[in-house]
Amino acid sequence: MRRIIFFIMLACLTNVQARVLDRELSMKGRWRFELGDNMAYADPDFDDSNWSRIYVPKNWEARGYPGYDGYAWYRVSVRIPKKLENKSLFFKAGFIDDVDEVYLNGKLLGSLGSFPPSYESAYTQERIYWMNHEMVKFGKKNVIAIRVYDQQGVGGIVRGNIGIYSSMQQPLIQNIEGSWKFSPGDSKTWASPDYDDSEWDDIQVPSAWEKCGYPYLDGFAWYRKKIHIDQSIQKLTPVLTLGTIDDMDEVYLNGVRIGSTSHGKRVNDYYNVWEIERYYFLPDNLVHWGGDNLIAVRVWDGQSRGGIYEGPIGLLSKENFNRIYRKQKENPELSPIKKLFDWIDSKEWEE
Amino acid sequence: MRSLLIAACISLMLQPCFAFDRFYTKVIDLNIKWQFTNTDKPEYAQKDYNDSSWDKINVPGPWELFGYPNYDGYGWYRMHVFIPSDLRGKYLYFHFERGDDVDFTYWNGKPLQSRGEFPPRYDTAFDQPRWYPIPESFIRFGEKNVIAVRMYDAVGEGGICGGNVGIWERKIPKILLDLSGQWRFKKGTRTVYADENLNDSGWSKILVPANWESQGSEGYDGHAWYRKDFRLDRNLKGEQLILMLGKIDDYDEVFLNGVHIGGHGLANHQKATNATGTYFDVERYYYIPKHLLHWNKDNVLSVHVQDFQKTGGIYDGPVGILSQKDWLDYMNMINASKNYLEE
Repeated sequence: MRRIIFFIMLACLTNVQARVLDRELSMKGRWRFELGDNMAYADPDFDDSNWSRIYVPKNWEARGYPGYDGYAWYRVSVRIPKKLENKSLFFKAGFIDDVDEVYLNGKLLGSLGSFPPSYESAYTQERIYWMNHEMVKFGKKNVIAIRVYDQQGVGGIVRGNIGIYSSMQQPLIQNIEGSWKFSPGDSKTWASPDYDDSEWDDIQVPSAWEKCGYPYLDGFAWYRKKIHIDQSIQKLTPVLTLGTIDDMDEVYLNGVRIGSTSHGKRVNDYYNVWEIERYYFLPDNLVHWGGDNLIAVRVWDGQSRGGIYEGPIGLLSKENFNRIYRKQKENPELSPIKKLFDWIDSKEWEE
Repeated sequence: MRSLLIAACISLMLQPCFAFDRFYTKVIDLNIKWQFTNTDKPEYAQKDYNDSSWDKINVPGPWELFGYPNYDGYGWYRMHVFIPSDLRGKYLYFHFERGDDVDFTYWNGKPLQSRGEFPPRYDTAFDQPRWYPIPESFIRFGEKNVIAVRMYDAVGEGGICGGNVGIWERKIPKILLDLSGQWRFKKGTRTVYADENLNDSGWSKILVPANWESQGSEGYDGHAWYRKDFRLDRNLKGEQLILMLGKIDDYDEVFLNGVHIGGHGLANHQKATNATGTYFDVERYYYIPKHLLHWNKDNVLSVHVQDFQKTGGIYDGPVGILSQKDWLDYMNMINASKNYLEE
């Protein structure tokens, strides 16, 4: 028997495009620079007007400090335009020799390597730090201060693209990655919030299940996770994003099917189902606001890699989801999946 | 140390370049003279039938070359073969490469397997190599055993025409619980047959692994269900176990205690993925979800099989439960020999 399901599901995007970062602001140029180490330098109100100036990026040996090893600080002020407020932002600090701590307006944004005494260099790694929106002053001056330690040889912010970048991927309201319950096989009863999954295995989400104790597994398997959804985010109309899933999935919230992504009549050859990101609306009346909610994901994998294998997994505000959706829609040339959006617009699914 | 490495490399290079050789070894050669008659009587299948007056004929080779020129029709081959006791516990096959056109093979009088169909529904199987796993319960170790092969040739060459005829041993992973032997069997598609609590006492009995045509369902194509109860050693509790179901012709869907645990070709989503129709040659391995197993009572396996044409059912083994570790070791061995071939 065939039945028509009016699809609550909304959108599927390629994660490949989402991984690309767009440059919003280049911050190459002359920064303030001071040898030594003082945590007060992280304070945005610290007066660095008597510091020397140095070009970034370039090793400090080549800019007037030959042979210097040890601590030094970089500082710069940057106006982050209001129009960036709605984007997911990243600060790229390039390659730093050897260890760094990056402060934004006095708060630690990120760090790689390890300062003495447990020194560990990270000079081979490009610094890309996600910028928490709550730390950014949009439309105003922001202070970035970078604490650097160089053990030997050249030191400092030596090369790379320095600046603020944006991602199509929007920040989550609530991250639900981590340990989920998992079982191979298939049963309708596994969708129910009352089902007891305490004997199920724990599995890391996101990651291919082959890497989590289930090599060669194909076919059906279920993921389950109980999450608390705070009352305060109801006004943001959260959307569930499940990252990318290999191959097909069907999603249940508190025992009710809220959507699915699979091969279908309308989408045959346009895309590979295992490459698209999953976004599902959470029907307001199904969510237990301020309480526990059960998310159950039925996955079917045809061959090789299977499962919820790439994030982000979590709740996204409707507003941020719309941004992703619009960006994809406005720039179909970015993505080979224009036809997919035609299908999504129809919001209809035949199974 | 280096010379050791070099020696290891050389010995690797000298390995047979046919991956198959690593898993199958001929243990008894039957490329010898067999008893033969070109008549056809049911009692020829019996273990104790006296065939001493029959002709002796070369195997392999078409009977036309060995005294029966231009003969088409039925013929029977019989062989009395001594199976030494040291083969006990080995996974053994009776094998011949080419049989023209149809055969039905008996071991000590019991139906083993068949390929093709005899008249009136005649269907040739001349192009199918025969690999018939021999149930250990059929074999009399340290004694003579009787192989009887009924053949039908429609046209051209007839008989056991080609191949390395004999008893072959196959390297298999360690089986913790053997599930081969007698299962319960019923034709049909009803999904209630998966139910854990179904009363299947009225179902017929069938040998697994064996094609169902050789076990009382001659000529049957379509849906059928297999069921088997089993009980696991409590020491295995907590261990990740794998169900090995051998080869199934063509599609299968497997249930443990009423819950789907895997399959090929039958579940809805698979219809969308362009099943190529080659599942009949795929070895079945399924993860056993630990939480589904009973430890204080029997577990029930139900296997829904759909066969489209010719051979049907669970026709090759091994069939049983093994540990994930032993299984992965085995899979790595298979992959290593595949990689070796590709190199």
